[in-house]
This record gives sequence, C-alpha cells and structure tokens, in this order.
Amino acid sequence: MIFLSNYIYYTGAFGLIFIGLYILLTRHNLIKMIIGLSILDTGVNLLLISIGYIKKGTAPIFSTPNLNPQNMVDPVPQALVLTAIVISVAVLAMALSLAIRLYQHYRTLDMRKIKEQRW
Amino acid sequence: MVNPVLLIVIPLGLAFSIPLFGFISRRIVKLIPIVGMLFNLIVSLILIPKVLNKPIIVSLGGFPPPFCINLFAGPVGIIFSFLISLVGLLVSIYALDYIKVQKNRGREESYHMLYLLLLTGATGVVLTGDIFNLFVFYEILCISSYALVAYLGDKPGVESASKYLIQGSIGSSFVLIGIAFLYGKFGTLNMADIARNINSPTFEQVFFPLILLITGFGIEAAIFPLNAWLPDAHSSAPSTISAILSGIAIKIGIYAIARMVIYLIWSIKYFPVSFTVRAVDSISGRIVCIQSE
Repeated sequence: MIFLSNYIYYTGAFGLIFIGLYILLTRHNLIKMIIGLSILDTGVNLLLISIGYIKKGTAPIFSTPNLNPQNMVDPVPQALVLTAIVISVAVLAMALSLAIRLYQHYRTLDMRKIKEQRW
Repeated sequence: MVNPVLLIVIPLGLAFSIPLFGFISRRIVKLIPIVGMLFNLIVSLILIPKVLNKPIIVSLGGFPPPFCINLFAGPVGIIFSFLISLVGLLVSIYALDYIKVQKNRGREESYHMLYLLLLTGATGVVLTGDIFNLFVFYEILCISSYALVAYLGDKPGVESASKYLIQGSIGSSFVLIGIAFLYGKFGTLNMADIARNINSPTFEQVFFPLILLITGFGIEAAIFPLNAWLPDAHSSAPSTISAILSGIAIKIGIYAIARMVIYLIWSIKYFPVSFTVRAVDSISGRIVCIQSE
C-alpha cells in the first residue's frame, strides 16, 4: 500500500497507457481504436505531468515572499503536456475525418472487413 | 549573416499563406512550394562552408542554451536540409503538371500547403537541438503525411492512410514516453546537455528510453517488424507523395534513430544491435519481395 500511495500517479499513467494499447490491439472497430488512441495519449500526458510533480507543491510563481523553491512543481513538463495535447487533438481530428471518409466508401468501420489492400 | 532559423520559418510562413494566395490566383499556388524550396536550397548552400568551420547554435527566446529551445546547425544537419530542399524542389516541379491531371481543382491549395508543411517538419527534425522540439517537428511531418496519403480520397488511399495513422500515432506515443523517461532521468531537454550528463551510461540507465525511442521512430522508418503500413501507403498515395515518403519521411525516421543512438547516447556497444536489425530488415524485405506476385 505504501508503494501504491507513493507512486499512485505513475500507476495510473501506466494503467491508462496499457488500457489504450489493449484496446488498440484487440478491437476491430475503427472508432473504438480511435478511443483507445485517445486513452493512450491521456496516459502519456499523465506520465509527463507526474514526472515533474511534487507532493503538496506550489506553482512556480513567486506570488508571496516566503515561498520555498524546493517545493515548487517543475513547470517544464506542464508546458510539454500543453503541446502534446494540441498534437493529439490534431491526430484525433485527422483520424475521425478519415473514419468518416472510410465509412462513406465501405459502409462499415470493421477493420476485418476492410481488406482490399495487401497488408 | 544568414540565420538557420530562416530554413524553418520561411517555408512555414509560406505554407500557411498558401490559402491566402489561393484567393488571388490559382496559378500562384503551385509556384509557392518551388519558391520556398529554392530559398531553402540557396540558404543551405550559403551555410555549408560556414558550418564546416564551426557549428552554428541559435538560441530562441533569449535564454542561455540549457534552458531554451535551440537549433543546432551542424554539418550533418545542414547537408540533410540541403538534400531535403533539393528533393523537395524536384518533386514540386514534377507536381506542377501531375496534380493538375487529377481534376479536383478545389483541393489544390491543401495539397501544396500540406506538402510544404511536410518539408518544414523534415527540415526542423534535422536542425533542432532540443529533444522535445524534435518530437514536435516529427509530428508535423507525420500528420501532414497521413493527410497526403489520403489526398486522392479514393478507397485504397483512405484505407491505407487510416492504417498508417493508427500505427504512426502509437509510434509517436512511444517516442513521447521515451522523452518523458529521459527528462525524468536527466532533468533537461537539450540534447547536448543530456549527452554531457550521460557519460559512460550503464545498460540499465538508458535501456528503456532507448528501446521506446527506437521503436517509436522505427515505425516511421519502417524497420522490418514495424513496416506494415509502408507497401499500401506507397502504392495508393499520389506519385509525388510516394517519392517524398520514401525519399524524405523514412529517412527522417532513420536520422532520428541515428541521432538518438550516436549523438545522444553515444556507446559503441549498440552498433552490433543496429547492424543486426539492418541485416534482418534487408533480408526479410527480399524474401517478401520474392514471395509476392
């Protein structure tokens, strides 16, 4: 239990990553695969945030005079996550528009039935 | 003094101004990628002799190097950007006639815009000195290549593009996890700073991030077990994009792997591993080639 309480954010992040990978590997519906992709991205973002997180830390802004720099949360991973969220939104939009076009062509989203290509 | 930042900024600005040029005249739109790539070619040619003397390091944002995003224009990076702009120029000259043949006039602007964005991403990957900035440019390249594979909008194009997108985004997520581990280990994103802190890395220290980064970039580089998207995407994309995919996008994946293994985590003992991967890749490619009809 001590391990879980110390590393709760890492546990959650890797849980989300593996849930996303599991969905991507086992589901055949394209929409479900896109949902898995979104969960995977969320897990990676949580991992990045938890790397820079300090328990009971404060924001890295010197708003009041007696703030201790040792207690401040690392701001760099949060900036990275902001960028990563924007990128994953772009990928999701691209994937959903491709899914719409795929449905117009084949009238199904089951990737087992869409097999015109060789590989 | 010619600044290497121009190699990224000018094509990026031109790419996003292409829809505006489209309001003025449809004919100008085709010429914009040629102008951008010609500019990159000339700037790279000017920079090559300077860089051979001394690498140019540009700090963006006004902070000293370990804290800012920096561009590292070494000899390899500048020669790669020269090659990218040369290939891009030739292919965009070919696209002048080729894209007109397709008879979908409404979407010409989007083709040229995405094409220029792809080349911008490739130039950014070879010039950057910051590991997260590398990821961002790599994603620019990936997303525009997903869209360009499906440009024709027909059945095979859309199918192979959606498969390419699923595999490619798993790869980018792996790259991001690897970057997160490297940041957690070394507390910096600057490649030179990581390489300085990492002296004589033990196997356990770099094994996990290295595996994640090689797998992630390996999907774009189409190393043997990860190359399932490649044959379909090549055959169903427009010919110009097929040329750009095999000429630039795949090489960017290989360049990123080489940058990670050689420059970031310098260690001679990983070379047998990469030789083995390369040999298995070539042999399996030939076997599949013989078996297919």
